[in-house]
Amino acid sequence: MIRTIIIDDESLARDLIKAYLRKFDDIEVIQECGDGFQGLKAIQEHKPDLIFLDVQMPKITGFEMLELLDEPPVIIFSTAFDQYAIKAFELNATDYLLKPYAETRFNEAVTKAKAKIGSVSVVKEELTTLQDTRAESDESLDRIVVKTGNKIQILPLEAISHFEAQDDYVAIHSAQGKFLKLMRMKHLENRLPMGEFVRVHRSHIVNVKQIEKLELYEKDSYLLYLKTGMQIPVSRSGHSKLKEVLKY
Amino acid sequence: MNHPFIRNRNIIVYTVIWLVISVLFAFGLSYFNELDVKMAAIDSTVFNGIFYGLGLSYWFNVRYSSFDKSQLLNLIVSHAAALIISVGLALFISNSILTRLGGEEEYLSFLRESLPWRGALGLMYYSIIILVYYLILYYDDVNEKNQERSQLETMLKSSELEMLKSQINPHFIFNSLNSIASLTIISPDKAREMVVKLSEFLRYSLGKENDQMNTMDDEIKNIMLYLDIEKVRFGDRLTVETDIDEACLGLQLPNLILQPVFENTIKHGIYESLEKVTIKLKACQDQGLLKIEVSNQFDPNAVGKKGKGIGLKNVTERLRLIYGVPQLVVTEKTDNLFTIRLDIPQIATDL
Repeated sequence: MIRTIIIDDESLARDLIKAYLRKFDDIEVIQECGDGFQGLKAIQEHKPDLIFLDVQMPKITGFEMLELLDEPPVIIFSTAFDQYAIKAFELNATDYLLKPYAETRFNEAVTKAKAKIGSVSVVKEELTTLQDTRAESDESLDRIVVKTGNKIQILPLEAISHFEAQDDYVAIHSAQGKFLKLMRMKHLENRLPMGEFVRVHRSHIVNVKQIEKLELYEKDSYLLYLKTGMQIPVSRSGHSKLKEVLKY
Repeated sequence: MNHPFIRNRNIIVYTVIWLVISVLFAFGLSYFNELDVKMAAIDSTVFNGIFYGLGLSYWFNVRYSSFDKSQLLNLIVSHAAALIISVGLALFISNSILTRLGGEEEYLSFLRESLPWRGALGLMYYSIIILVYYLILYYDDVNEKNQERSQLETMLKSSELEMLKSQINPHFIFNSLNSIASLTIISPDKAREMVVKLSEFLRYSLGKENDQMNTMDDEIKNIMLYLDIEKVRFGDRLTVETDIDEACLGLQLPNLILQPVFENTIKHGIYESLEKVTIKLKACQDQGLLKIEVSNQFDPNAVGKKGKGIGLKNVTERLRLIYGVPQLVVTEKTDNLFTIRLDIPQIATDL
């Protein structure tokens, strides 16, 4: 039996998926969720094989929810209209349904998804490339969703003082505390609003508004003091980027 | 050639003014200087006739020396030169002609003595004509700018409406269609009802002429269609309460001005919140104003996605353009309640 969870904020949209799924006797809907928070909780609790995931939802979007999953199930996305998401989907193997969709199209997606169940590495790989494509798009971030234990936090960019690379993770220093999140500095740098954040060093991105002062440290190398008291090294190329943004 | 005294038959007015001046001048000569009428008339005709012609030519000095602070010195020099040359020339020519025509010694001595005040009169003519030219230039300039501005504003108004139309959220349309697809399985009757509502909503919203005014009645009906459709999508999460004074149903307001207001309400109240939301709509008439108030609860903890306030900014800007009054839109945010108030002037009923 394939266990599935439907995550969509509109009950009629969930009903439609359930109705279409009735023709598959090997698929069982174990839970329905109306938003990303519930969805995350349900996935961690039930470890489903397959999820149907809407992109635009209250609180956190489908994509933001996925970023918090350690072991994602097979996913069929559904969305009505989101130019960035659709662009990312089109460049990827991950399947998606554009609302409203035909039953034949739905069946196709389910058949494809079934073939992927069990191969976690394939799913993970697909998700990573999907997120990479999204990161390369020009859609800019305006918040970052993080998870500590079972608690989900939404960090508005204004509250973040700086990002620091730590192996595969990025440490996010914010007013709400320090959080670790699996992501790449390069993608992060791409998607942060220009002029508000500057990558001053290979492993540091700072919020321009949080800068207290900049001091010459040695010949050709600088040290940045943040309002939080933190000290951050500045590379030569980082220094010229800073100069450009701060116009001094 | 766009000479201000020649275009639009202005030359007639210009000529008439000079005729009047000439008559007065001749009258003055014969009355104060006791010239005989014939000689006074000849003198006046020659002297003023020359300035009549010069007056027309002064335009080019005004037109082709731009009034620019940095070139103030140039301007003064050019006018001084034009003044001295033209008045000198006028005096010289008129004197030569009149000397030949006059003949009598008495008149010739008068002519010699009159040179200083003729010069002064020339200066006055010059100054007045130049002043008139500058006034006309200034007036033309202001006119042109006004025209440009009103043209621009009309364009803006219609383009903004275009934008608002296209702004009817594609997300809303596609999700509604998906809901209908779902309803066809669960409840075909409701599906049919929703197709009709969506069609009516789209017909109203897409089919309107630019700059059209509608009655409150029509606009409210359309908004209710929109809210009905959203209610089907979100079920009991959305409640709508209305308190509309019957008297204001006939009042006028700009086409679709309420649509972005309600989209904003739905966006922050429903799309970004999990709670149940009540949207309240109040409308009444007050001293020639149609007062509309829309309020909704929102989740103060929601970290909003981008796109904040563009819809409402458009509403404010459109009202400002249409009525020429700023601050017709006021918003207020308390802990978890967002309120927006619109004051729509009722120009037609007031005047």
